[in-house]
Amino acid sequence: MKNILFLSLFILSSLVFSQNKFEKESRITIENVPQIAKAFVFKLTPSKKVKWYLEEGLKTQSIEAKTKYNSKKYSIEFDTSGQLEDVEIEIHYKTLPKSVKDAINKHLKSVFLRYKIQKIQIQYSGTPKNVLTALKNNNLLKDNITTKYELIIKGKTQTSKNLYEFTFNAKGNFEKNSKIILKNTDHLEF
Amino acid sequence: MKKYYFIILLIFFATKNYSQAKYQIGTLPSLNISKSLKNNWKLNLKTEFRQLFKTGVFKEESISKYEYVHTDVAFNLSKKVGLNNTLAVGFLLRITEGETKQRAIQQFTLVSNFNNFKLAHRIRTDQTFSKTESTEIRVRYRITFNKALNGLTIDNKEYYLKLNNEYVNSFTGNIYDLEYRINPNLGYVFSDNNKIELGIEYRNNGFVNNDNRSRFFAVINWYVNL
Repeated sequence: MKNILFLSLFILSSLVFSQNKFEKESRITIENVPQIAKAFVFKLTPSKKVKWYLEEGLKTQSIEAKTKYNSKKYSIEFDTSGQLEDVEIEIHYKTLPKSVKDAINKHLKSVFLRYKIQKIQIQYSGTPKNVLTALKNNNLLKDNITTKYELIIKGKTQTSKNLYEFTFNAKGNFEKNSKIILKNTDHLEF
Repeated sequence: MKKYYFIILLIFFATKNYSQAKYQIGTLPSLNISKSLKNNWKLNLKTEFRQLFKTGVFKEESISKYEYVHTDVAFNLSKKVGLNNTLAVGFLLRITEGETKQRAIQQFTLVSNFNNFKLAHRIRTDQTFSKTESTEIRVRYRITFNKALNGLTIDNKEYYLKLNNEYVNSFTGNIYDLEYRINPNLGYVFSDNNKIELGIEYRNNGFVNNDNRSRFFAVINWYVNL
């Protein structure tokens, strides 16, 4: 019985904690970007320095625009037909509301012995019109916008040190995580 | 593109400044095989084969002839001690026509990941033992810039740029020497466990002892992870 319990716990913890994140991205020219996606980005930012990427996951593909606007780094993600998926903006940890910081830290402390937040992006999704209006007017606390936080965490558990991607909702409640697979660096070591 | 101009200019000025200096031109192909073990341990075998095709003194006559210099066979055992840090110890056999030298190696590597490039720092010490020469002790530092030529990360079936710059401090008895190395490479990733690099390596030493020597090598590195 003890063994079955242990085995179940092991499988469950593996399911929760062993989702690996695989992403391959490559530059694409603006000619290969759907018109609808280009139009959204041009409405959002007047910046001409927009880099376009094709992002390939294990089962999914998406198109991503990366740009800088008002000194902030933007990643705007679309599906391959050009429909908006979300807008991510890199932010500083200190700009998070205290209640959100507390909730995130509480969760991370329950998972890791030690951790360090390497990067935070605030993620907005909703209809293109609502997201665009909210971003333009800097009014992002509307009900018609879904807000999430995506964190890159360097975390130490009892057995290993790894890099993870965590997603929390607007209140700082945990939604999902995945382990980031680091590439082989033999060619930089030997 | 500016980076390439910088390297070419650096090599040009180095060559110009030491125009009475000796030079060598050769090739330096290497094969690097790693085997990952449990608990972040890794075994690494590196073999390198050096040969020269031309030697001489700048602005004077040169000698064009084939010369086998040596073959290196190195075994390294490394342990990942942090997310980006690795400690390694190794043992190298340098096989020349006359004798086989032995070298002990200790190194620490730190690989920092940035948004669209990697920066690796390697601190290495080694001690070379020979039957005919005094023991040579070296303290080396190498910085490596590594960037994908397409997109933000280096993915399979993509090209990358790797730029090495190394400083090698050498102590043999009372003699001190400093060598710097610049090595731009164009790499290609067949898979995460199989990469090939083509490049040139420029080495300059002896300038602290008024015995300057420049060396130019065509480099091919093949990295395989089993």
